[in-house]
Amino acid sequence: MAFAQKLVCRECGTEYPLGPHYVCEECFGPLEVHYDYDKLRQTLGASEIARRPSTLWRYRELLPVGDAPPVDMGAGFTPLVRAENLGRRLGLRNLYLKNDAANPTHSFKDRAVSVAVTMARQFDFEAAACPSTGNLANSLAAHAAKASIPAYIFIPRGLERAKILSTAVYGPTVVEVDGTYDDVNRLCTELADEFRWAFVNVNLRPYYSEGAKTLAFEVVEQLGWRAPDHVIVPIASGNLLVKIDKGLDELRRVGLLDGGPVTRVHGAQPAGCAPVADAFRRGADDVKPVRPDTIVKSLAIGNPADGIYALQTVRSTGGVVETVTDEEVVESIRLLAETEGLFTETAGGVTTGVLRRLAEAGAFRPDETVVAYITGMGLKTPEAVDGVLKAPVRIPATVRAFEEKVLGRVAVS
Amino acid sequence: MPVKVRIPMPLRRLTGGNKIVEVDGATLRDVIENLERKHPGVRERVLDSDGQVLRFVNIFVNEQDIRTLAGLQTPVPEGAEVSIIPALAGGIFSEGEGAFPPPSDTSPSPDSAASIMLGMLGPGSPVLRMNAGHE
Repeated sequence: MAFAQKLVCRECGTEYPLGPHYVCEECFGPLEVHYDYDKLRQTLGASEIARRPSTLWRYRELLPVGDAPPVDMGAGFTPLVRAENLGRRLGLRNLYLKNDAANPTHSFKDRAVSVAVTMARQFDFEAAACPSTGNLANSLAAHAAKASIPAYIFIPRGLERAKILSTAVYGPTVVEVDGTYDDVNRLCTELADEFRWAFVNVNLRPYYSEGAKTLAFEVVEQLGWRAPDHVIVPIASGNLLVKIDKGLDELRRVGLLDGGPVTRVHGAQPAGCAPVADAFRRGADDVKPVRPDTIVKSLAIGNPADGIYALQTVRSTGGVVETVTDEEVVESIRLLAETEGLFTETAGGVTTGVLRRLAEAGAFRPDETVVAYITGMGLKTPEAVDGVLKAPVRIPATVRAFEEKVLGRVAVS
Repeated sequence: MPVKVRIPMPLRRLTGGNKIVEVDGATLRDVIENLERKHPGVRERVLDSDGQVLRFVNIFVNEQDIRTLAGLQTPVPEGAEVSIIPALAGGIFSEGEGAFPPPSDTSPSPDSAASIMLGMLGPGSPVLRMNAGHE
C-alpha cells in the first residue's frame, strides 16, 4: 500500500502528482513529498517495524517509493554507539554516535541513493547519473551496479586517481568535465532535461532527499522509541539537517513518538565554508554565498540549496549553528578515533568538533541525550591526518632493540 | 541580434515544447522581455515582482553565471547562448561532495594495493573527457 500522496512546492504550495518532477513549474521552488499521516497512524506500529530486516527499508511506508521493489544493498540501520569515553571527556553521560560510515559504501549517501535508484527503475529511466566527486559518486556507482542499470558519473577535471578509482571499480562511465564542480552541476542539470536519465540529486531530488529521514527514524528506534534531546548534524546543502527534523516530526504525526520536548537540531559547518552559521550569527533570514576555503570538501558548498530551510529548522527547534577551524577538524578526527575507535572523514571531524565546542560552552545538561551524526569514514579523506600522527618506531628485529627503543629503557641482560 | 535561449523543462509548456528559442536583445534583461513577448508567462517564472532573478533560478550567458557577470545588465552578444537553469544542488561557488584540490603528495605509494588497481585502470580507463558546454 502506498502512503506517499503528492509533491508540494515548498515555496508556493503548488501540488504535483508523484512523478519524475523535480522543481515547481511556477517558481522553480523545491518539491517536497507529502504522505497520508492519518492512514499511517492506523497502520504503522513499532512491533511490526521491529520484525523487519535491519536496513532503512524497514521504514518503507515513510519513503516515497510506493510498491516499487527496493534496490537494497543493506544501507541503513547503522550502529548507534554509546560514546562513554568521549562522553566522559565532554561531561556527557548520554552521548551517542550514529555511525553511518557502516553503510555499504561507507557514507550516509547510501540512504538517499538507495531510494533514488529504486525510483529510477520505477520511473523507467534508462540510466542513473550524478555530478559528484566523492561519497555520492561511490554510492551511486555501487547501487547502479546492484540494480543492473548503466551509471554515468560526472566529475570535475583534475581529481586524484584514487578518487576516480573508488568509483570506477563499480563499472560506471566516468565523465571528466573540463571545469569546476559548478560547471559539472550546470551541465548535469541541462542534460537532465535532454535524456531519460535519472540524475539522482537533480531530477530525482524530491525522492533522493527523503532517504535522509531514516537517520532520524533509526536513532529514535535505537533509543527505544525515544527522541534525543539534541542532535548535531553537518551542513553541506542543508538537506540532511532539514530531513532529520522532518523525520522526527513524522514519527510524532504517525504516533510512533509521543509529544515530549522537541529535539534541538544543531548544525555544524567548517569555518572556511559557513554560510549558514554566518546567517545564524547575524540573525539574518538570508544565506549569503561564500567561496569555500577548507579541507572539508564534502561540506564545501558555498551556496547551499537548502541553507535557508536549515536555518529555519535550527531556529525553530532552539538549536545553534557552530563552526570549527580546519585545525580543530583534524584534532577532532583524532579525538574521535582515540576515544571511540571510530575513524571518520573530515565532515565527521566537523560534527565532533562542534559537539565538543557546544559541550564546553554548556549547551547540554550532563544527563541529556545527545546524538552526533558521523556521516562518513576516514579512509575517504586520509590526507586530513597525513603528517600529524605519531610516526612508527623503527627497530631492528631484536628483543634488546624493542626494549631500548620502544620501552625506553636499557635492556636487562 | 538573435541569441539562443535554452529553455528548461519546467518552462517548455510555455514555449510549445521548444528547447531552444531565438530572440533578440542586447542585454539579458532585453532578452527576457522579448522572450516574454513571444511566450507570455516566462518572465514571472524567472523574475520576481521587483524584476530581480528568482532565488531558485540560475541564468548563464555562454556558460558564465550572470552573478559573476553584470546580472540582468549582462550584455548578450550576437550568437550568444543563454541558459535558464533551476538552482538545485548548491550554486555559484559550490565545489560539491568530497572534492579535494588537485593532488600534491596524496597519491598512493607505488607498492600499495590501490596503486596496483590504478594500474589496472590504465590509460584506456573508462574515463571520458569533455567540455562543459552543451553544444
